[in-house]
Amino acid sequence: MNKKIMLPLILALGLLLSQCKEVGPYVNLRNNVASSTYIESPPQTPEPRNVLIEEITGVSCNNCPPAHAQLDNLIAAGHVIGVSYHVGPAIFNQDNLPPYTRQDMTSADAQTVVNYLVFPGYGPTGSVDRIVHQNVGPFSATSPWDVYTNWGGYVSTEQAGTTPVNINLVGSYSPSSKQISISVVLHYTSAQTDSDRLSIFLTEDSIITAQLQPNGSNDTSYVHMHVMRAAVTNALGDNISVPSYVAGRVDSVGYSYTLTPAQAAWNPAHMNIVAFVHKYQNSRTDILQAKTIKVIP
Amino acid sequence: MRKIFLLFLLIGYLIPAHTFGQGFLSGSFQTNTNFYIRDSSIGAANLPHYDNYKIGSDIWFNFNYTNEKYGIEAGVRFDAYLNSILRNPTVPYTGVGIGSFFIKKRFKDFTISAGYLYDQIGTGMIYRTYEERTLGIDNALVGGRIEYNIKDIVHLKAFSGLQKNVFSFYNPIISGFNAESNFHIGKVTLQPSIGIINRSMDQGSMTTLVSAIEAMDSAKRFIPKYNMYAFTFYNTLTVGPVSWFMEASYKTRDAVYQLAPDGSTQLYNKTGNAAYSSLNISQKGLGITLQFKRVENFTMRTSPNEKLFQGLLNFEPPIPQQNSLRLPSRYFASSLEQHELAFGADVTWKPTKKMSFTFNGSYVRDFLFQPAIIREQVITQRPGGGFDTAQQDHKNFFGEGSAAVNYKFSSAISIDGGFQYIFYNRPIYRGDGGNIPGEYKVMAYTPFFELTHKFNKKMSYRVELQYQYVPNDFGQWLYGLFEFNIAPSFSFAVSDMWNFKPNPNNVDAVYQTQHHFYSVFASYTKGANRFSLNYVKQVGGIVCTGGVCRYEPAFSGVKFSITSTF
Repeated sequence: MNKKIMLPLILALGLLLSQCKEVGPYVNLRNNVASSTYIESPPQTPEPRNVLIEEITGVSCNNCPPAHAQLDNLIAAGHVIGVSYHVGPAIFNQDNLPPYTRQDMTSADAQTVVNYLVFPGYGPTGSVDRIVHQNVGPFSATSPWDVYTNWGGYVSTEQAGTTPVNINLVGSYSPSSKQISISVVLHYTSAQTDSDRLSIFLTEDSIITAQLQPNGSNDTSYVHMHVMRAAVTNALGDNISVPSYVAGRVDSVGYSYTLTPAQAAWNPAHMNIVAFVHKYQNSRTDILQAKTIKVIP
Repeated sequence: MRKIFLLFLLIGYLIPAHTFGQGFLSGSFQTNTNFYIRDSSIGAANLPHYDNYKIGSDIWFNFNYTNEKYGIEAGVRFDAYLNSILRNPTVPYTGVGIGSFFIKKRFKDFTISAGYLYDQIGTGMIYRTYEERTLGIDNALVGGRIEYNIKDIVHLKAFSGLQKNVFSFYNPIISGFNAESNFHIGKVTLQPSIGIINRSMDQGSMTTLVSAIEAMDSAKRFIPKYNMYAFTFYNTLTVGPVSWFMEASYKTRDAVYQLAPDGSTQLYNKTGNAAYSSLNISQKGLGITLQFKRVENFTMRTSPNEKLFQGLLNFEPPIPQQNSLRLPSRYFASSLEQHELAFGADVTWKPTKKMSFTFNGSYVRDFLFQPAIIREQVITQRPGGGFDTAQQDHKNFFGEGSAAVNYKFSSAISIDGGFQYIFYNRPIYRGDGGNIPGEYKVMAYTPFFELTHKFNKKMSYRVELQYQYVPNDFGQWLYGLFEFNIAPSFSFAVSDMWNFKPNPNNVDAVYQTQHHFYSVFASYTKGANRFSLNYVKQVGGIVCTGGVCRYEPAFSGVKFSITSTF
């Protein structure tokens, strides 16, 4: 009796489980508005390698101005792009404003990036192409963050490399709609064994607001550069969804970002678009190539 | 729903009239009415029922018919929620209607049921539909069920339907299968059983879910599943005085909200698993119960769009003991869905007829070798400027140790006394980390005493005295109760819970000063009818019933209730 019942039961269960595969709903896994991809032949020649320095800073951080100066010097030397994240604990960021502060320069997207790269608990600090270099002192051996005095050496090392992807970045701004349109064309110059991500950030230069100085004074008209305003893609990047990462792969993608009334203080004339291709899996975070242009050329 | 109810009336009409002559009718009536008296000093204010409505009632009237000869059972329940705070203690709800109806027919070994069905598979780990009125939980399955009994050895059950949502339904379809068995091999009894649950999400719920996923960082987006399957295997092995129960459950990949490393709540697409076991040993004068539970990502809901008690499909048995005394019951560890590793032990020892001892211990923690789900950011200033930050993991969630003794001086006088120690992780159970560093952990020390004295056949009194030292939460409490009973009709009680040395850093500012929380109670019982009147001031906090907990704001007012059965 039991066998007569159990056998059909087991068969029915097997049939049920075999039917478990389903077609899921459509979910937009990227933030882009349009994209296309194809393979060009021959592949493009690698362009000069640009290095991205991401800096954790804050208006209440009295040791930060020397790091700002170091970043400006490296940018001036060429092929270096800077992004400054105003994040950190309360004693470091806008929660503990010095007097005469005019603007909030914190950003939830910047916080997301810093959380992802694991805030080292020390500032000022910066990451050069999100690579773990030779870390010493207060940093763990697995942290991409390091003190600003080490950035120059890391930049030289990175610039000596060859980019596997060229970035063609074009942007425009419509004052009437306050919309920033961005077009990115990625040209792979060599094959990649794992997938990449594209991140696009908006930064702003020449923001004048207070900043504590190394001598403890408060510079009420300090000029802040490269301030991270927002991520156009997801803060941790959008997947570059292409069939294969072979040399000659071209991926075109378009984005738009509209400034809201809450962002009235942002000055498009001082803003930049920063685009970079980077890893996001197999414990890799490294940046392969970066580009920047002005929102209003 | 009205159409379904009319269909049931039609079925009732078609059943031959003589059928009703063979059965019997039974039922119950319950009403609780609250008169809200605003008291801003304890936080019983700034809510609609205190500021505007002033009165609210809940009414249940249950009417059942049973006919053993024809194997028929049927029932209907009328529910009324009038400014009710059962479902949401801060937002009164009003609704009136048929809360439940069912009809069941037995055909020899087959039983078919339809309507609002309450059921459970195993401990309820993958499926439990039940009613817990004090918390506003009623998650009956509205559908059909068929059962088949094979020689009292194997019991098969299959069901399908929608989950009740007060007077409507959640749209995802819930289906299940359960096979329970019972074997005897000599002195050994085995009860191996299996259960399967399928949840098939409707398009409306899926559209809401997809919108939530598309609002997430694209790095974390995923394609959710319409169907979630959960499987469980459980068995009870009984050999003489030893009984061992175990249950192991698994659920397929499903969208669930969980705590993220940054402390926020985010959607994840994860599989889940859970295991529960208990070992009971009973001998003359000695009873021992050991329990273990491990839960990982085991959230079972009609869809992830539902929160708190809404759309719950299961019940995870809690390991810590459920106390009935006022102060020892203030801190309880309800079951956790994301990560839980729990151990429990209860020992009851009765060396003489007059004396018995009870020892209880439980410990709930995060997993040993996985990142902590609760982390505290600790910031320290460096001398001369700068700062350091560190993430401190909080992997210990709950710990309890208690010892109690009961001594009967005579058949008329008995005393209970004991001591309880509690360790309680605020963020995991209450969602706050306290006001100042170090308040993540709450430790409570509670001695308690109870005296019962029957001074004649009719009259008795009972006294409770409790003290609690809990510096990281409310400070220090004293609780006293005096209850006087005249059997079988009257019962009177007065009590006071006094926060005589409050914590000046209490997260709730109204409790940073001293407060008395009085209660005056009287009840009258006549036959199967009981009437009670209670003037209450109750502190706001986590309230647990049947192992399920939620936050309830302070209460101030009068409660009147009637309970009748027939």
